[in-house]
Amino acid sequence: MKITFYILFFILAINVQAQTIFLGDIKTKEGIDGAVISLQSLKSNRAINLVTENGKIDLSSDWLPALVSVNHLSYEPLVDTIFSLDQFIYLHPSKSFLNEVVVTGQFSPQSVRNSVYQVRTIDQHRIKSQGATNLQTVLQNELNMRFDRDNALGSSRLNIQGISGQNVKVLIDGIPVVGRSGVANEIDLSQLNINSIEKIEIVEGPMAVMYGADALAGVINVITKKSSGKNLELNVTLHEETIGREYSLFSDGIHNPYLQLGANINDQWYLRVEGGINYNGGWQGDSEGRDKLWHPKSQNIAAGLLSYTSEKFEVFYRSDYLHEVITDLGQEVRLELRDPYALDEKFISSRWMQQLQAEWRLAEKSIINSALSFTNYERISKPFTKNLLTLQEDVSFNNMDTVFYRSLFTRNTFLQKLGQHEMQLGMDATLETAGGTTLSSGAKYLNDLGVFLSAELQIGKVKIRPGIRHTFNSVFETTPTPSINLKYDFSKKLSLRLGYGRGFRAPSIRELYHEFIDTNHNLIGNPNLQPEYSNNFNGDLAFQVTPAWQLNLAGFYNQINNRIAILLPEQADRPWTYTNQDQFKTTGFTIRSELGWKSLTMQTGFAHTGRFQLLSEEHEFLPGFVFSPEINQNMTYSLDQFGLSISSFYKFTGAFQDYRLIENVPQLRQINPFHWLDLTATKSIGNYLDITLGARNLLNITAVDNNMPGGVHSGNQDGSAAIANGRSYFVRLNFNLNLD
Amino acid sequence: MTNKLSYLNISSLLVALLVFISACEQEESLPPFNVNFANQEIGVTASTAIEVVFSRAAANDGEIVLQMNSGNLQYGEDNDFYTLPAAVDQQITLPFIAGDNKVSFEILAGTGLNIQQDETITFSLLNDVNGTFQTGQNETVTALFGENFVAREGTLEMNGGGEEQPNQVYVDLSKLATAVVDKKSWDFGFYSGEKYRVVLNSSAYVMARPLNKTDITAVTAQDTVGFAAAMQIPQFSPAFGAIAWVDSEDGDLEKTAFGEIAADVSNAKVFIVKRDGNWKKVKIAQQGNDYSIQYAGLGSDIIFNTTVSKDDNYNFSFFSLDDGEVSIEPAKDQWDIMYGTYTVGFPLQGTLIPYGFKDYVVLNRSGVSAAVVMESDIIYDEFDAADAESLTFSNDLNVIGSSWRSLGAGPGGAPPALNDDRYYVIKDAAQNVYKLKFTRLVSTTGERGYPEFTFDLVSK
Repeated sequence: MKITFYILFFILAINVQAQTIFLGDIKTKEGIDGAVISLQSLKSNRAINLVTENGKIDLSSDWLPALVSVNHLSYEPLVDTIFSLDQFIYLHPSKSFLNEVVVTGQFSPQSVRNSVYQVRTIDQHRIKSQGATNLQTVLQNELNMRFDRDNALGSSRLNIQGISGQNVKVLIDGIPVVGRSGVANEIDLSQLNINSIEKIEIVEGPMAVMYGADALAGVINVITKKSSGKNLELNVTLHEETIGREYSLFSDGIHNPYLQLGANINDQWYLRVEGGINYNGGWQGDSEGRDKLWHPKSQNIAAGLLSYTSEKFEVFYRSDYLHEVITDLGQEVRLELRDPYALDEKFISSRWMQQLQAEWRLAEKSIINSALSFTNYERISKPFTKNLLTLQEDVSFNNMDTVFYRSLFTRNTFLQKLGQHEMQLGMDATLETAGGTTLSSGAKYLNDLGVFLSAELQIGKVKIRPGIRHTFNSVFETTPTPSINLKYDFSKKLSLRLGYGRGFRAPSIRELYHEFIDTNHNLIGNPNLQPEYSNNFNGDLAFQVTPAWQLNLAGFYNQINNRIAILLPEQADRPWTYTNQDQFKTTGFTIRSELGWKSLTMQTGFAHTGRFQLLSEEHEFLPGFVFSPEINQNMTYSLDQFGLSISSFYKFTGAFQDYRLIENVPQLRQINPFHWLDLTATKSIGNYLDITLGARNLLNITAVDNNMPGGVHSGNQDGSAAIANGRSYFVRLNFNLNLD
Repeated sequence: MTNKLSYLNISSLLVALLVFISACEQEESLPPFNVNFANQEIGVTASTAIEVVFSRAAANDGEIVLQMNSGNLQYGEDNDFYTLPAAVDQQITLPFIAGDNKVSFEILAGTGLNIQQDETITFSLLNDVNGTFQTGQNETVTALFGENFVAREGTLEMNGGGEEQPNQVYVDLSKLATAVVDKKSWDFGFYSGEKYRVVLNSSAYVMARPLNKTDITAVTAQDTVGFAAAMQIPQFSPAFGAIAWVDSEDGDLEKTAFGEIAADVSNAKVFIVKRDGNWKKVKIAQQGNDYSIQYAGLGSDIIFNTTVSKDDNYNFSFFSLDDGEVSIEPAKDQWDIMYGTYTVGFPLQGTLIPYGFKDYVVLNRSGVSAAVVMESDIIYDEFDAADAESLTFSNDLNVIGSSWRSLGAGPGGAPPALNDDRYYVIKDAAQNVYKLKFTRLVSTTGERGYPEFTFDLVSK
């Protein structure tokens, strides 16, 4: 059936492309406009200059054969001889990394080079070439980003700059993602749809002025595709992957089919619909019987976009839907007098996020941006008895846990340009409702309103961006959060950025209203919690050695006050609760190099991140910080004449160390370091099909030694920390059909 | 193309329809469930319940019919025995409704019962005429009337009362009998043996901490500053030394929180007792062959004073600070193991802290001993009397403890699981030796507090 599809579209596509010279981007395959093509006929010595429109030029065949030279500012020049007219010519983007346009934290889209923030980007080509099936796979290769795995729920906890993921704001097109879950109290990145990502922008350090609460350690902004140069675009992806050595056609392993359809209805309207399944059969590993070490997980995802663009006005509506089921399979119970059965549990999450965003260009110098979004997130855990003879599922006693979050969000900004300067005034508001069985009874409301003002002033070679936000919250008090960033260009090649920012993390609904009471636990939320505040200092020096070689040296220092932690009460009849008590600090530096040389692009980096040791306050001989190194190197080698590119993704994650009290004596305990390596190769077959083959986790990491002491419920009773499920292999077919 | 598409549509519809029909048929043709007596034999006392268990919950209403064979005994309330519901023409009909997992009936001794020797009656399950269920291996149960009943095998589900396990369950293996009490209905046990010792109710997490005072009237809330934070179960700060204020879980009477009970009331120290969230001051001393106990609320001047006597039929005389003397444990020769929650010393940072365990099993201290056997050494089915002789039995009350299950990974983590790599050999006071294996940690619907074990007589 699928093969029939391929053949069908193949035939259609070839018919459409006949009789033109088509000029496209080597990666996106999209047509390039405004390229200058100089043609010299080898037959008649005539010459002509043509400019591409929609990536095409029309030419009569009496020019052939001809020598062509192609020039475009953003692409490497190309000289070739053509003998026929139905030609595809693909250009390589010129390897300058600084012309990339970013939006996160910006007043309006601008190049990385001009941004006062250091914005890291990961584009869809990188995601595709890595064959990534979730965001974690991509991000764990980045410096200063670490994950640790929660095997029970199959999710991963993120750390940025040594700070936990609940201090990271996760955005889709600038709109906060709703649905913090689990003990880690953070957004589960595996629940974001990786297929609709055009690129990911990451800013480390607080972005509280623009994004408000929780943008303390950083912001991860997922940017989706909103327009296309093609009239009609169909994209079908099939991703098949082993999980360790486990794979079968329908159950074990990863099976991810995905379909995307985009259409320019007319010059103004663009429509996009997409959907698919992410199926992960779980990992048996060493466990025996039905029970799997990693639980099977299945996600159904769907998304749609409708956008309207005119000269003065742009608006888009986007809808993202996720339904996820994780199944914890219990062992088979065989009792003499009973049918064989198992106690299974399903964790069902669903998120529906809708957003409407608009931009009005009132005048050349005034722009209004508005965003409105509504998200409904629910999570249910449902234990049930499965009769293994009749396969009936019986939820026969009431032990379901449910939690829901509903959030209405709006952000409105007004941008005014005054000569070289810009000023932005904005407000945002969030109305959040939550409830559930793990919270104290009754629906919880958490409303906040933020106003913010910032400006970007260009004074000679210096760009200064001061900003301030004040937030009014219905539950807790806040104080204004200022920030100031500046950028100084020593020359076109060397620039320095310095920044100070104050950030805050709002107490989560869980911390405010959690309720967990049983024989050995009496833990309740604290509705009087105050936000955590941070001060962050950062700086970086960017040096463009050549147009295709960029070096960057960066450093940071974060200090968090009022950190929310669990308090042991003085009096026995009082429950445990959360209070603002500790302080925490992290510091570190990174060195990054991005190099493009002929067919090779190479990113190399080193990071050294230190985490504060609270015990050093009482034990003077302990160091204040314990540091851990990271090294990464991502390489891509393109052999365009064969339509082939080969990539490698490597990261070394240093030991995670902490001083812990062991029999009242501080001891350095650690989770061991590990190396990670992925290798992939992508081959284009014709213009419609890309095949990617890859080996993930070539070094076959499953778990590393961990001698961190656990509590009474020691999560690491076997002395190891789960990392991954061993060396896996994948194949990814990407069929792409474009109609102009 | 349109034709092709519609052809595809029609054929996929047909396939869907077929799948739907076959799914429906599957629903109809569920295999019959098995019905079994929970046990193959049972000793009858004044009234005894007999359970018929289903291999799965019934999908529809129905009834079970039993054939009775009463042997030499006469049926009837005024005769030897009768049943509830009553037998008609030697048959008992037990209705059930959809969703039921089991049905039961009762055998009761009649007023005319006067037997000179052991007598038995048998009940047999009849197959369902409609084929919705069939009889399994325990098709027949033999009920024995007489003093000498010793169960040769059995399966028992503990009634812990649910997730929080509010019950203590006392089990008599040889009689296949359980007795359930509310764990919060008592505070202290006064030892009936020669020594003068008092134990705390470790199932209800009672704690006792001595003061350096002997005059109970002189004790006020002032004496307990800081006690609230320290006297906790669990107590995650080892520095408090809270383990001293609970009894040792191995049952050693030399390691109780109260210690040796003073012979003279003037030397007896006052203890601060924490029980289910409220606080008392308590002073216990010997009084002749008995115990004297004085107690009051923390700030109260009204001191209760009473005497507790030893009773040799029981391990302890049980006492509640609310209700005075109460009846808790069965007589000391009428139970073997207790199931419920328990206070256990748990090592944290190298020091023991008191921690509340669920699903804990302790032995009766009067003549019951036990040993652990790993399946990897001898598998359960092959374990026999000769193997039992080479075992070393221990009298520590916590020989079984929580070792039959794993600890969970805490909130949100992996739940505790059955350790099916081991079983236990238990010798009761009458020298009956049983092997006992836990078959479930939770109920068949996954609820904590209803484990099940099965046991077999190894030697008499």
